[in-house]
Amino acid sequence: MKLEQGSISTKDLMIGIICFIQATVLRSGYIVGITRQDSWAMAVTGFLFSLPLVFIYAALLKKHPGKNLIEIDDIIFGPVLGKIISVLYLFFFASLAALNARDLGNFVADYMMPETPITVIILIFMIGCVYTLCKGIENLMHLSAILAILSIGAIVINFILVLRDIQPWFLKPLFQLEPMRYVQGTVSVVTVPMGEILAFTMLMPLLEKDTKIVKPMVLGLLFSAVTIGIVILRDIVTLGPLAEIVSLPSFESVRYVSISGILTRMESVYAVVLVILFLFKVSILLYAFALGLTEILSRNPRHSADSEGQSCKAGYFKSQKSHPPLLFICAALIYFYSLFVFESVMENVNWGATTAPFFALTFEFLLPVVSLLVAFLRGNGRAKEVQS
Amino acid sequence: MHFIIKLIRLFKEQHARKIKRDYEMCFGEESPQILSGKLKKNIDSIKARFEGSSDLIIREFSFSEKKGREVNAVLIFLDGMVNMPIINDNIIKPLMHDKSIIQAGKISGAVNIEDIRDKFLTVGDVKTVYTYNEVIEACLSGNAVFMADGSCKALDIGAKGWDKRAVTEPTSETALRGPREGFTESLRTNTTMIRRKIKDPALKITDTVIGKRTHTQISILYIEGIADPELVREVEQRLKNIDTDSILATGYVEQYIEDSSFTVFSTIWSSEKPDAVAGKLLEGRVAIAVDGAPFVMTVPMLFIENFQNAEDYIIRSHFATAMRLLRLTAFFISLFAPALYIALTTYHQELIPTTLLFTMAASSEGVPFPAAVEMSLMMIIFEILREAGIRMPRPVGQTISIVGALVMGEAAVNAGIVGAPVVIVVAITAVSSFAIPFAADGVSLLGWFLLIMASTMGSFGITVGAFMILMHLTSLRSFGAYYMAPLAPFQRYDLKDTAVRVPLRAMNTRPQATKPQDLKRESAQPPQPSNASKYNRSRK
Repeated sequence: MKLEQGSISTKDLMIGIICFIQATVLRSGYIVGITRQDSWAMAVTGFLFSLPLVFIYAALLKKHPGKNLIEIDDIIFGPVLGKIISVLYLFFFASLAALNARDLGNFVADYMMPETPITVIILIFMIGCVYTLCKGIENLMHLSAILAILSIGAIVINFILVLRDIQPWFLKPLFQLEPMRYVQGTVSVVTVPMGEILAFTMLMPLLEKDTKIVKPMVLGLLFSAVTIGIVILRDIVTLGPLAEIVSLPSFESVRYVSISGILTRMESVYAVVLVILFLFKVSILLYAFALGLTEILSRNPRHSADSEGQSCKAGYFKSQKSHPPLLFICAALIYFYSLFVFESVMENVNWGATTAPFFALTFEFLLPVVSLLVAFLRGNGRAKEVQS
Repeated sequence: MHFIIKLIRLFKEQHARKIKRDYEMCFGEESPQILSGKLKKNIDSIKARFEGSSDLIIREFSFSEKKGREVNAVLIFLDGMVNMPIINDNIIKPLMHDKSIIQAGKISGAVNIEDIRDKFLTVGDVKTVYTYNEVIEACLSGNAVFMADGSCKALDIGAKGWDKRAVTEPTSETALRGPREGFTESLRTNTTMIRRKIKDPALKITDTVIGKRTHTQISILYIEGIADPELVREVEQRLKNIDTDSILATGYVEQYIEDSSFTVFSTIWSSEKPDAVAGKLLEGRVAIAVDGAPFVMTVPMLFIENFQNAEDYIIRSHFATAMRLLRLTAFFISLFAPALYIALTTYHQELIPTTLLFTMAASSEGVPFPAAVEMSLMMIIFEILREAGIRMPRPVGQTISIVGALVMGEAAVNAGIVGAPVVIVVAITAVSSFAIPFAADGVSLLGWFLLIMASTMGSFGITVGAFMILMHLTSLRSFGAYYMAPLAPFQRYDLKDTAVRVPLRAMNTRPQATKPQDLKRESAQPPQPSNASKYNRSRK
């Protein structure tokens, strides 16, 4: 495994997080289904409640600079229990990757290529992801700036183009739903797009300055929250009550665009952006899964960060590529997993609304908190030992 | 008497050993055969090395070192590679003819070849050499070699003079308002042209020789204080690592030193125009000139350089920006047009405006092939036409273009073998690729990849394919620089010379991608004109 230290800047990390979350933002239907016309507010509350998650991740990573999540588990829980916890994380990453691949497969099969079997679509998609990772995760992170410009540009242009069709009174009545729905909506926003940045903890050893992670993560989340808010707002004021019915409100609202009969069918732009963002997201999840699996299975884990840093300096002019060795096997696993992860789209929607938040919270909140507590307690114990 | 002869012999042997030691100290390797003191032996060995070469000229003559004492000497050179007037007037004439000067010279004892160099030869570039290899190398590079009996040294006299092409306007890059001169096949002419643009002693030109058979001279040019020393070392190292017997053009060197061979995009930039190369040098790049090739390469190369042109910096920035955007558009058209056409007609007919759809359907009615086959057929025919047009002699080339464009295109549509829209798309693709000559080859190959993706998976295939191409481009490196810089990784300050070209006054820093030592182009504080001057620029 050829890993290099310090080729991803904090700026790239921030933009990477934006892109990562954008992929889900464009599929905001599940939030609108819960909180209806007030969904835009969920972006604000979702952002506020995802801050604790970021601080937990940051605290964990700060305690163990230069390590990724799986290595941190080993340090905190010891070799046996640590491996078990790591396997749980890996299951989460694999599930997320499979779910997202399936989501994209469904989208393409429904809207772009109705006669093509979904297996082929996901296969091509996974080939794209594997090729991406073969070219190096750092390069993918470098690319995130272009993708962010692309996706945010698409959102802004679409927003301007639908201005003609908006009806602001669709936002009324404000905050009239039962409070439980707002809680549910907030938890949805926190867990599904925001908390998934847990996958970025696997990239931390590649950061230029691995101590400065709070700022880029928070800024990335803030920016993503703003775009979530804008996109949902656009969908609601364009579609009104229809937004709760359709499965892809963003897609439907963009269909409204018609500038003097010339500039129509803007949803094809939306589809292209969505496919690219999903490629980005699943690539990161696949990387997290493959790297974690490699580390669990390898007998001698990666050496300390210092030796890696030196090897990087020696290869100053070499092309920077690093991909985990089990990439192809992991990609195949995720491919087959994605084929049977859901029987139907309805099952997917139902799961997303009811089970997904709790499923995700286990890995995004519970396990990191427990890890942090254990690390804290063990750290205290060790300090006492030293004193006595 | 016998003792004296022995002493002389001992002295000579010691002298030979000293020369050998000096040589080893200088070159750090086992000394090759050094020249002997006997002229006859030297001539015989050189003749043996050049056995079968009719162009070797060995001009034997003698001159009087002292009154009454004739010294045999020889001048060796290759016919056609030397400047004959120099040989005749500046070497042979002073030695043979100007006896008065010779007699006035205070030469005594053994022939002192350094004295001849210092007092008689009226040539600028003269070096003393010691070995057969040096003598042969000197002859092969167009110099004349002077040897005299009794001396185990030789003189390498610079008398290069072969027929070379004059400096003409470059054919591959034409200029409207820029300088019109182009590089030639002569290395020294090329470096001189660059030297004349950058009159600064910091412009360094270092030479190496590569190729066991061709002994091609290669120059590395860079500006000290701007170019990253690490980069210069890397270029030198990569050139040193080349192990081949022949270098015939820049492309040979390019393929040996480029970072990645498995890419359709070139990661080393080359140009026929000295002004363009000078511009690159001033941006902190390193240039590599190869003897015998009218192109000079510069590294590192960024992707955006495919769309830059030396003329961009000469014309006004608005127009330059418009041209840049146009070239980028041409790039996207030539890459995506055939694939998009296939995707639209095969999978996403609903995206085509209805009236256009009817027209297209009508024109491709009766065409026996699916759209992808039609497109492939026309693209292959176009590629053949292009190749034939380039390779055939010029008068025939025109015939080919007429036959190709008029007869085949028109006739194929009329005969109903291909639809007219396909011909139009292929034509647009071709014309667009001509607007970006540097990237055109790569684009035409990638077009096929996207065509396959489009014909199997429609617009989804194109999107995944485009992402893969983007990822491939981002993963490329050129001598330590990110190929997609300043876009990936994002460099805000370098964006001023990408899709837009800002006015020169705003372009006050060099691109950071090349890691220049001196980032500023302009002095930190430009001299302020006095307020009294009525010629002040209006500042808002």
